[in-house]
Amino acid sequence: MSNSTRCAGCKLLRRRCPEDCILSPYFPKNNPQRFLSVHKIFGACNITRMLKSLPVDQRAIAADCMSYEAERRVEDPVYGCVKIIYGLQKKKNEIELELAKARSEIVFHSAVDTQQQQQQQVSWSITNATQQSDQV
Amino acid sequence: MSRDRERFDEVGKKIKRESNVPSTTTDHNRMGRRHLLGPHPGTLNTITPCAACKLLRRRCAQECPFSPYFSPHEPQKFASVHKVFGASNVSKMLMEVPESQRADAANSLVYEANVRLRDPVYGCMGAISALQQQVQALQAELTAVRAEILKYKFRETAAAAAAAVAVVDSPNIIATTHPLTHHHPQAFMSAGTVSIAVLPPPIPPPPPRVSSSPPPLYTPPSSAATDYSCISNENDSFFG
Repeated sequence: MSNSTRCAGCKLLRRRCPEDCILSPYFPKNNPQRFLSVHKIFGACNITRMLKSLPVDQRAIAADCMSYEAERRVEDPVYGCVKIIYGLQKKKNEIELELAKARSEIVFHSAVDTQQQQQQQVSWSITNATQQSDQV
Repeated sequence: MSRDRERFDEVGKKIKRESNVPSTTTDHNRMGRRHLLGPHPGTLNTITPCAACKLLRRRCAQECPFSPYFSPHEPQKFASVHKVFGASNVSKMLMEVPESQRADAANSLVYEANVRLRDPVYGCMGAISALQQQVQALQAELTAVRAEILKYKFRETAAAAAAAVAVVDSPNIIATTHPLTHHHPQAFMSAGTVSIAVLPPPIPPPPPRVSSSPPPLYTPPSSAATDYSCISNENDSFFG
């Protein structure tokens, strides 16, 4: 395999890129930064091992997800993408609390509405009775 | 023959001597300071091999980068990060951040590793995607419930206005300025039973606001996605 067709992984690792290189479909030579991030965070051995352990049709997704995680970790070495998860969990808890409050308010308004409707019916029946007695 | 026997005796004595003699510095280091268990349980982590050195089967030095964050009581934490990231990468990543933030970094790495082991394909992306979907669904539900509350409020306002109008228009209300009362008191008296102006009863005070726990009638939306909130670390407060 000539140097010009080496994948980003083999180029960074300075090794020959075989035809059945497991990294080449997911780390093309035109995007060296992608492999650089995953290599820095996970390591080439771990990436290779994790990709090999997966079915072929799921490797592309796994490589994309690992790239994303690695890039987040490079941007934020302390929290990485865990910060996003915690932010979403916090937002979810807040919305759940708001929803609970809103549902309790619905129950209250529903009770008031029912009461008003009952009283309206009573007043109409009284008014009707009065009108009938007037006619008589 | 006797020389060989002497040699063997020397070797035997040497072996016996080495097994008996306790405290040289090299022996301390070799034994990983296990025998130095002191009376202070708080310093246990620093004087026994940390989880990393135990797993890697190496000497746990004083300046071991893992020992403050990977206690020997929780070997699974380091096992996860080692499996996903590798010990050398973890060490590099911890050394890159300021010391005050290394505990947070270690915990977030453990969290990420656990999620990745749980879902080898999507990892944290799966968790993010699932949470985003849940947040969207909850937001939509909240919007719908708030719209319903507005409808109820509008209906109540309309009902109150209608009741007020009914009170004003009712002909049987006793009014001192009514001309009939002045000129034809008997007519007034024969006007029929006075209809009671039906005013809406005083609205009972609203229920107390829900403070922290939802009411029993609230059922969280069911989701087929994995519940990532149950993956927890000990030191969750570091994101506070």
